[in-house]
Amino acid sequence: MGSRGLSPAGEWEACGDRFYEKHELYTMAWSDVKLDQMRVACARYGGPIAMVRDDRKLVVVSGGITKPVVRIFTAAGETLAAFVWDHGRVAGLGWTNEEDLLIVENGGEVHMYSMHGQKLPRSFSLGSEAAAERITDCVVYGDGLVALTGAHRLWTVSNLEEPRPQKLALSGLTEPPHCFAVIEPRHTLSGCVEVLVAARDSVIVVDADAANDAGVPNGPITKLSVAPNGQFVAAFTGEGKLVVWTADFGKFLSEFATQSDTPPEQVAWCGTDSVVLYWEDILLLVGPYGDWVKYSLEEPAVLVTECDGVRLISDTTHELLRRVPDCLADVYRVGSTAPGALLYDARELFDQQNAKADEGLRSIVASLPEAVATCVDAAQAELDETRQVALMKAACYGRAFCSAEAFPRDRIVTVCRQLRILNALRAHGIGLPLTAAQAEALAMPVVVSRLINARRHLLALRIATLLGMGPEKVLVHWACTKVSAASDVPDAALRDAITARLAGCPGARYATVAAHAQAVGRKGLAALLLEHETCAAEQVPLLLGLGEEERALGAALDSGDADLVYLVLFRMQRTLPLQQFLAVLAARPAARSLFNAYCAQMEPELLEQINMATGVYEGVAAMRVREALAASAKLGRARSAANGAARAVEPAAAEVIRLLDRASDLYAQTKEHGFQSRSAAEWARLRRVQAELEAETGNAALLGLSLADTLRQCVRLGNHRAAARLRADFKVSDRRFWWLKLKTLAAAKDWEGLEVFAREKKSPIGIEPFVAAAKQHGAPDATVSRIIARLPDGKRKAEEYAAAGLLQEAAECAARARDSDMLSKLQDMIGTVSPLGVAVGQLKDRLQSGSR
Amino acid sequence: MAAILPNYNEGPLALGHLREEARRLLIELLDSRRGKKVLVLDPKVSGFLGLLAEVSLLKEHGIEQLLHLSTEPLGDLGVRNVIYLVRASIENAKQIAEQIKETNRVRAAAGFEYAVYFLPRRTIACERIFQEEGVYGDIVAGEFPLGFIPFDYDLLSLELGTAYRELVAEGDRSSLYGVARALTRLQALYGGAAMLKGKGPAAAAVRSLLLRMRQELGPEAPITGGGPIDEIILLDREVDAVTPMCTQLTYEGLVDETMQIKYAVGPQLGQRAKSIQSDYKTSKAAERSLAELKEFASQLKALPNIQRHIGLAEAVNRAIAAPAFRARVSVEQSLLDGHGLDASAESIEEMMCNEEDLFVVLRLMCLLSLTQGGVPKKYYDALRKEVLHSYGHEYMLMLSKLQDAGLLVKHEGGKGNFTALKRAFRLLVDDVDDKNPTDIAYVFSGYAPLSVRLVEAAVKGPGWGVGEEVLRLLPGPSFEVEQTSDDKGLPIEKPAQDRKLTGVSKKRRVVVVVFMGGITFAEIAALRFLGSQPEVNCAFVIATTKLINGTSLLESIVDDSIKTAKEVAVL
Repeated sequence: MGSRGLSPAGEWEACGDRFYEKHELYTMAWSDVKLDQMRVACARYGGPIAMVRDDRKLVVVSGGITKPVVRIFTAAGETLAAFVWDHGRVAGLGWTNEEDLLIVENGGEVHMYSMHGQKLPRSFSLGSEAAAERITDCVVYGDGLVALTGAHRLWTVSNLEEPRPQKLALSGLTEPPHCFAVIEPRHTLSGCVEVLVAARDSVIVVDADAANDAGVPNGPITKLSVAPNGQFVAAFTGEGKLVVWTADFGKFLSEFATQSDTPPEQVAWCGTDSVVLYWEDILLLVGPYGDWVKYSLEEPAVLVTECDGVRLISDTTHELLRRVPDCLADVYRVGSTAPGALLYDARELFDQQNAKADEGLRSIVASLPEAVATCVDAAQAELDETRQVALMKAACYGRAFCSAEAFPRDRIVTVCRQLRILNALRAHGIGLPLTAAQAEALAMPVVVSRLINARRHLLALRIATLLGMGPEKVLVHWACTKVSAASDVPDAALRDAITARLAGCPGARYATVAAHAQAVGRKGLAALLLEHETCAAEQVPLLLGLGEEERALGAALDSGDADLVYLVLFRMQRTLPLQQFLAVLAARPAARSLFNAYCAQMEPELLEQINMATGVYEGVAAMRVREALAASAKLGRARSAANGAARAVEPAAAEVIRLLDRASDLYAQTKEHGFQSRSAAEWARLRRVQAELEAETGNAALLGLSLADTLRQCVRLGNHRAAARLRADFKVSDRRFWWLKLKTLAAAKDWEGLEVFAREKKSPIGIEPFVAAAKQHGAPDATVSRIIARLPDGKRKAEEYAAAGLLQEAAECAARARDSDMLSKLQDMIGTVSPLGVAVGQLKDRLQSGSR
Repeated sequence: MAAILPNYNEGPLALGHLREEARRLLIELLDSRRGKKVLVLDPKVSGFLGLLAEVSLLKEHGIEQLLHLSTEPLGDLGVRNVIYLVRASIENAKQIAEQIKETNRVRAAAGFEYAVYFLPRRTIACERIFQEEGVYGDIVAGEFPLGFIPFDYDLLSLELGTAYRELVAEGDRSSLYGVARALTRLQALYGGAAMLKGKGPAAAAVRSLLLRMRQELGPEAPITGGGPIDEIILLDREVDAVTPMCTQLTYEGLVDETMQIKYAVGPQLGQRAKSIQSDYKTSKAAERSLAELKEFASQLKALPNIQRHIGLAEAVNRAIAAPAFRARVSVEQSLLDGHGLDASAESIEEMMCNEEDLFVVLRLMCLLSLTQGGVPKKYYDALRKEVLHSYGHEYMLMLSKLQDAGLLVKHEGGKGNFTALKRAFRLLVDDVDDKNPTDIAYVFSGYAPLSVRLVEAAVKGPGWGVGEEVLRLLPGPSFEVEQTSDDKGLPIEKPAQDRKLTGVSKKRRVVVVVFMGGITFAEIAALRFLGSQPEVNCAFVIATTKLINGTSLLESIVDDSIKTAKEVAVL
């Protein structure tokens, strides 16, 4: 095999059985950057580069400006923004997942900027404690940060949306750690951030709850680096060795002696299986099996780890150092006879119109699908466009001889589409040097978001359309950008321009654009745009922001979402004079009832004020009743604790009565609440009487009982005078009183009392309830019999006797009542043999003969 | 909590997915705080949490201890993380704030980390309370977007126990927002329904919320039609407040009436009960001897829990054999029939004298009011006064609430609508065969629940199946619309077209019936019976805000302040 056309293999470096390539991504567009004087932060996945003068290094400052300037570039070195830094000393800077720049001041303030240098409102502070200790170092990862203070303690913020500084459990260090590294929450078992701190002779694994010494024997560690998949950690030891462990230090993986006493300036992972060490002019790449490659560098560089390689950014160039993907190696490796390589050769011969092409193809006919797959994969992984074309051509050549089942047709289309996108992204003007592997790890929707953020709307829109993703996000962001840029276009015209684009896109959120318009001070435009918004949760807060509170309340009420109504009401309560606020509530019952519910719990005084002002006296009265309930409950507890010492609680008892009287007066203000007014007054009266009776009898078990229970208690205690008084005072009906008394007596098994009561003047409920109660509570037969005797009706009497098992009496009554059916029944029950049976038989016979 | 949760996937919709989703959310929530933790629950949440997750699952995810929400300071828990899982209510937020403040005061050194998860979402009112109480900075707030919880293979509940009170007595419609959200989620999971019918003010509100939510979703709104759900029927409890006031006379209903089915027992009971019920009708079971039941049960030895059922049946039997129970049912029957008003009022009075349970009395009073178009003047104040005298003046606020809710009002002339409704919907059925029922009326021994009659009419169609003039007798608007989308794919609503009823018989339609304000076990039984009728040819999935009976419905209306006051009185 000769050298394949276009083959890059000559520039590859072998490292063990694998190859590494250094591919130049860009010649930097910047010309005046001296990276070695800068603190640099490069966003992952080929994102923007931010830098600020490193005040830890001595630099000759030329020119008049003494304040440092923060500069932001694309990965191709095109300037995105520059602004003067006029805050405190920079302790660290870095990019978030959304490609916002975080700059941490040593005083603990964290500033956020967009990649275009606009200050974002989401800045926050690490708190006074951290501020007092001063921040000395800081690591920003995708969605959080870890800061080291001068007192050698660590603080973390793990959610930048809702920043909440949390102190990690590192303590007891007396000197600064040698270095530290962060394992991001998405890689830890606990789901929380872990920090590896190289201190003294070991490494301490720190999280919110604990700091554990990892027991690393090779200390002191001077450099630490965590692999991009969070699984491994590489360390440079004091003995000049590079050591790799699993991230929990549970397993030692490899060791490589560098022969260097000086620790490297940077240690970075190249993908997830090799590590790169950087000294001033040397780059040493160490593979997983101890193989190594040494590169010499002509100028200082910054290393940026990616999932499949490491980027080297220097003053003039931007390069990618990566392991050559296997598919590429298969095709281009010198002397490769892999099917993919042979297919590639065949295609070259075919292009040269050489008949050997066919021969080459035949030689791999059995493994043709594999060969095609290799070439497609290689094209996908290849960064050079000419070689992408050559590889794709080879794939198509082989594909033509494969059946549709053997190699899926759409795979080639998909990959071509992806390559078009990746090539467009890599173009110098865009400056997003993503490899296919990185693009896959990042996911296309995220790529689109990043383009939007970078204000590359047209490209974003095209990619979104090409991939069948909804264009709404792109359009909305475009509209926002348009609003910012077109400050001299009148509101209506701008609204029309925006709606013209957004109208074709059903999912577009007008509220987002409106919010932006409001934020840049175009309230009129915001109001116009909000008319197009369908989502109340988006609309309402914005209307509030625009000061259109009435409209906001209307929209919130329409949405049926109580939460939105509260949002508006709380705002109105703050901004409007009380009278006006009350007028708003009065006009909207739904809003009023929600506000009442809140006030009842949190601001009862205000509720009372509102109710009084709007004439809702029953509402105030109900509040008094509730207060009375609470007071009486408290009183009840106090009494049971004091065990009957009534004296101490008298004022409290009076208070309950006062509240009830007040409630009664308030209820009386409206004519619909007469019953409530009377009830409250009656209740107060009941409590007074109860208190008096307690004082009279010295028995403290009445206050708080219901009227019926009070009566029962009196009957039980035999206090008939008191019972009579209650009966008269509260107009208890005779029926009711009879029921109550007989049941109470029966339940207390006061048989004598029950009989006496049954003999009292004519019972308004008859005698049957007496019988039932006596039987229910197991009265002796004699008692039951005597009560039954009082029944007026002979037949009923016989039945009751029979039911009570008093058969003789039953028979006598039946006979007297001339009830022959009853007698037959009794006969059945008794049988005819016993003397009683015989007697009953005679009675029956007599009755029947008498009637004949 | 049940050891093994039934899977609920053999119904018309595989409802198990809903629970899986809820479990996943719960686990995510628990795992979001690392290490060992204490879980503090409001009692309403702890009730149904057992339907979502076993204790062992909670343990697996680091829960060391379960506590109920209170304002007492936390003790020495041995862990740092405290997770609150509570309904997003103002009361709960206030209690949490109190507890945290107290704990900070008493045990500042404990260094607890608080996370509060609100169901179904965090609200502005709650956060404002945290701010006002000065604990906002101590709390990580989140939400647990729980929707419908499966209670049986065809039964979903939101477990919003106070929905009815809020709707009818307090004018707070936030529960409807929850209903609409849960229905939107349900349709996102199983596909949208093409038809939407509803009756009552709450139904109309949910309809407009549903449309709004679909429109907010835009092109992502669930596609309607073609999915397993054919139709959604929204019913407002307010449309039929009569039914819950009646004593349920099915097996599950009786168990519920006599011992109040609580969360975990219910569904299992339902499953077992069905097999028993088919052979053995306990409704009016007084005639059947227990020996027979025991013998019957012995044939079913294979079924687990049968012993528990015998115990339940015995207890139910004792309760329904009592004269008080018979008296209560007979008053109900005569009120439904519409005669013997004076005798009924007298019986109610007598029950109070006999210290019958307050809620039984109130149910009869409400039934009287609802069936006769209000309580006649001569009884209105007298009966209410009697309630206060017998059970305590503490209940005066409750009586006002019942009045506000329209459940217990004064007769202001006219006959009320119930008489007309009885005729229009054939609510009273004379010859009911309990053993081989042919009509839903068997669930109340001759009274067919109005709510289910409405559903019956709606599924038989066309439209609502009854005349406009009949629907007007019931509160709130009625509607029938088609959920669909315009040519741009945006969700819209269209007036329903007349469907040809000829093709209906082929496919068994799946109808989701939503009861806003709660549903009783008897109504569930009636709906299931209805679904089993060949001429109806529908499989019902029942969704509700809460499983209720008349007592629990009225209890939800009692002010909390009364409850505490009465508890003290019991001391």
